Amino acid sequence: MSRVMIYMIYFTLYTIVLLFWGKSGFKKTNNIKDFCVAGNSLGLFISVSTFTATLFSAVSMQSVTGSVYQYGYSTILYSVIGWLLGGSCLIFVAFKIKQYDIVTVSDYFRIRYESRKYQAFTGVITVICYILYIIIQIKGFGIVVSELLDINYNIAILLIYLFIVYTGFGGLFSVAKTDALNLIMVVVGVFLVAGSVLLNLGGITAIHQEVGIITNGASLDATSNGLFSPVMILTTSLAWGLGTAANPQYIIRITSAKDKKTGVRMICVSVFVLSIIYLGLMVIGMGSRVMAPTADSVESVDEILAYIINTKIFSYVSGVMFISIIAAAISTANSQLLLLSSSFTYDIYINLFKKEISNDKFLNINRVIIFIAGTVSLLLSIHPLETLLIYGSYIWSIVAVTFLCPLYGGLYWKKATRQGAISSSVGGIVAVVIFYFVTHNGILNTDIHPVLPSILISMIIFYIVSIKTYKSQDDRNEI
Amino acid sequence: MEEQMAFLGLPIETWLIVGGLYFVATFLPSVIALILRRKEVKKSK
Repeated sequence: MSRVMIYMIYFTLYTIVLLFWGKSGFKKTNNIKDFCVAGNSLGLFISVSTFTATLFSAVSMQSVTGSVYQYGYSTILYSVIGWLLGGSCLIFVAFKIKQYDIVTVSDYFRIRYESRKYQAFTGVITVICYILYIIIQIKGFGIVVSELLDINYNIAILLIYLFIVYTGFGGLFSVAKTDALNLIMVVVGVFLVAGSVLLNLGGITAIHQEVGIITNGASLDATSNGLFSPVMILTTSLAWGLGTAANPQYIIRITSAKDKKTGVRMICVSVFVLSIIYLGLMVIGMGSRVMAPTADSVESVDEILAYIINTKIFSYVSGVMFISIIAAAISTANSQLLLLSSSFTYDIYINLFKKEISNDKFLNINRVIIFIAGTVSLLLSIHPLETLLIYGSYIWSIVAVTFLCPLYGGLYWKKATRQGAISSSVGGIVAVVIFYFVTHNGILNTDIHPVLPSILISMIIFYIVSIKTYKSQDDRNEI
Repeated sequence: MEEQMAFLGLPIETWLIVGGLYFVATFLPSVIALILRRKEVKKSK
């Protein structure tokens, strides 16, 4: 039996199971809350599954493996550790956010800052950032499927489009259920590949010794023998970490948990599970360097995982490894598509134009938006971007500067005001754009990621404007 | 070339920097949750 045929069989089986699993979500979804936050009813297992599967994306699966392959353990410092530390910050959100009865994160801003315009503004940012981020998942999926099923990239990306649109239609119940399946596939796939790599190469010590010789020790060094400056590593990690800490897709999972305790436990368990999965990816990345010392056979290092599975460790279970890569992309893309459609419908459309809307109409509009946004992301994915890891960190920077101060400040600082929140978000976005422009056009030569100065500017604006406007509100109250 | 101390073929320095931070990042959410929980209990008392 040919390799393509084996992959095709696994792919067909996965498709059937996914469609079946996702279907039950449609029946449970009757109103706005069911669709956006699963009726605030998710238990610990399903919450951990959906949180972990959403965080573990195509960037994790392909780009972390590819970057460990190329640069070694420094990759972990500037990406994975940032994500995990961002998860720690979410604990602070989990302890407070359940006090608010919210449907989206922007809905929280409306309640806390009493501003429908700010809700709409953050809704627009959510929609734009997630459309751009879904491209990463579509590209990741397209690379693998076109390589392993031996089909054209454009046809491959059409397949993920159908998957994510279908699961998105069922709302968070459907997405969370399919996330559980996808997480199981990811865990099994990652450890099958890691196990095969270890068995083939004689264990981790042998792999490290061999990689040390191939890369002259660079891959075993925390800064790749000085290739990355500590400032670059720290600030890129910060971009990812702050982007995770303020990310609506994780905060929505806290609100969809059935209670505060479940939300807090979900984060603790998920971060632990993720750290175990990433250990598997490190083994795969390092082992791949030994199996294929040069990346001549692939166009980008993001393709190295698919290449290794297909050529170096191929067996009858390679189909599971193949599905695990697809599962990582789908589980993140469908969550993001759902989030952006909820945000568009609830934070922009209903909020600004149509205050009263029936549940059926809300669900239908959401499904139309899922279809449109999915199509836009699909079209933008036709010309793939450069490396997924760097591109993603810029999008997360926008998320961080928009949401971080208003979210955490709103929850923990009573003097946080609407004016402070709005100015901080706008100032932060402007700062990211300016820093991106000046660093990418050589006007300013620095290793510092744009997120660091931008988030500092955003914090300073938030503090000063809030203090000033809080005082004037106090004065008015006294008069 | 200076011989570096290593464990499982990986330099001790990398174990400390990358491994140490990785370990901290893995368990930090649980530590923060415990601290916040204690604080809450104390406040309610």
